[in-house]
Amino acid sequence: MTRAGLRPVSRQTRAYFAPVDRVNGVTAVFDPSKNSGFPLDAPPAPWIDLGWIENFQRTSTSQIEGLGAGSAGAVMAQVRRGLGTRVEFEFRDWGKLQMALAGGAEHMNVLATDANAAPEGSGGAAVSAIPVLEGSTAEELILGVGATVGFQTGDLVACDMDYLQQVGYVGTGTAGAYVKNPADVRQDAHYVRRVTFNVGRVAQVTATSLVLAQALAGGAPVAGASVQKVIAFVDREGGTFLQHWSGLFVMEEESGGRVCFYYPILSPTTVKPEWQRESLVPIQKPIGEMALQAAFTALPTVDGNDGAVVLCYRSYFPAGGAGVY
Amino acid sequence: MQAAKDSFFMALRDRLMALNPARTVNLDGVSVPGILVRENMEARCNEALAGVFYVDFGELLIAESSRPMLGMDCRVWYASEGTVGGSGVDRGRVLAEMDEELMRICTPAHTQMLDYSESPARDLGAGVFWTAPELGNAPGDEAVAKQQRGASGARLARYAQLRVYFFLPEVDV
Repeated sequence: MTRAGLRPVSRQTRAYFAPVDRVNGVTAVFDPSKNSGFPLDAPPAPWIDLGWIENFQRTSTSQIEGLGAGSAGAVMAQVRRGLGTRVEFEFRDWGKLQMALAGGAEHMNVLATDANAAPEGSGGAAVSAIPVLEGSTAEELILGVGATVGFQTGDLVACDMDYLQQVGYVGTGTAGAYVKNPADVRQDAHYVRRVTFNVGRVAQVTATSLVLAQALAGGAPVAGASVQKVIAFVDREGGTFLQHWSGLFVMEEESGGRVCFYYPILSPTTVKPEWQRESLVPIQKPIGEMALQAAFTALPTVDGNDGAVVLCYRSYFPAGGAGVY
Repeated sequence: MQAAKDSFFMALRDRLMALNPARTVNLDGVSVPGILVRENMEARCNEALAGVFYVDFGELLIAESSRPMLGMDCRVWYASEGTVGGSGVDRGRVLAEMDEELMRICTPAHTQMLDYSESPARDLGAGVFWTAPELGNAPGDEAVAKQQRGASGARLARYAQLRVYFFLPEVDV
């Protein structure tokens, strides 16, 4: 046994997020006993790989305070209060989920519109959706003969249910928004597809189907789902919805074992009165890389093993052959 | 220390075999992956071949003091003469392929440190990790200057530098 393996060495951190079931309050679980040493390019379901992140910082605001007693006021006991923790970092990869997490509110898919649609900041009235047929999967959307004509390889598409005037969370598999009143969304039948996380890029157009380059995050389309072309993604300063996702951060092990940080529920937060939404990381002046700033506060869950209220878990997978302490 | 050198080399060699099995070199009639540690070669093998990665280890420095961590300079030399009928017109492309291969086999920039003096190799409980290679022209290489004078069939050479880090695998238990 050597002690050299007791010093974790890492240079970069990888971020993975998974949806939280907002209706039932069920989070994704990173179980260290089941997911030890997973390849960083192939995370276990339901974790979605969001790439390497930079400037990863974990800050605890929990306090341990002493309870004094007696004339000397000596500390006789201690209590933990103000349980709280934050996570801050920069996304360097941009994508639908990265934008949604950094933005924090509803994240909009800009649906294709017809030429006469009135302009809107998040996209005007959308063209009709194409129903998805039975037998479709998360990777292949079956539309039927003649229905794929309007699509091309490389298109972005959103696939989800029509909005049925319901009140509550909308979006299959992952809540994309909360509708308080159908009038707020103009009873728009396409509203769910405006906010759904079930988006993909078309890798191939066949006579009857669209083959996607990546599986839909919410899995196979539900009965009654339709597909629409997406032109861009938009987030906004404003909105009332707060994204809730489970987060997993892995410090790539170079020596001394792997360290993982698992947060059952992360919710967007602010860290100071004024802060940058994105930054330009210099490559060589004047060239820079756009980085998305993200900050979250952790919400509590209960560990079923002992009933403890916890915000996050730090797991350590010791290097093979290293000492234990 | 030898374990760190061996582990680094074996990682790059295994990755090269997986990435480009065709990059081989013939040593005394035996085909081996086209990456060699020069200090392990017989002294008579003194002519460097194009299309082969040559690894040289250099200076050592103490990178961290409370638990000795060593940084070891490493250089990887390689050259291209092109492949098209000896004319050398694709020597730049071939060198670019080797550049990319080197970057790929250096990623991820870490591996387990194993003691290859035993069989099977023994896990020493720590890792070997390194910086990204900086690709430069080989010192003294005249290829660029020659090309500026005319379209000659010069050999293009590259001299990649990186630093390999590792903890001294002292036994405490």
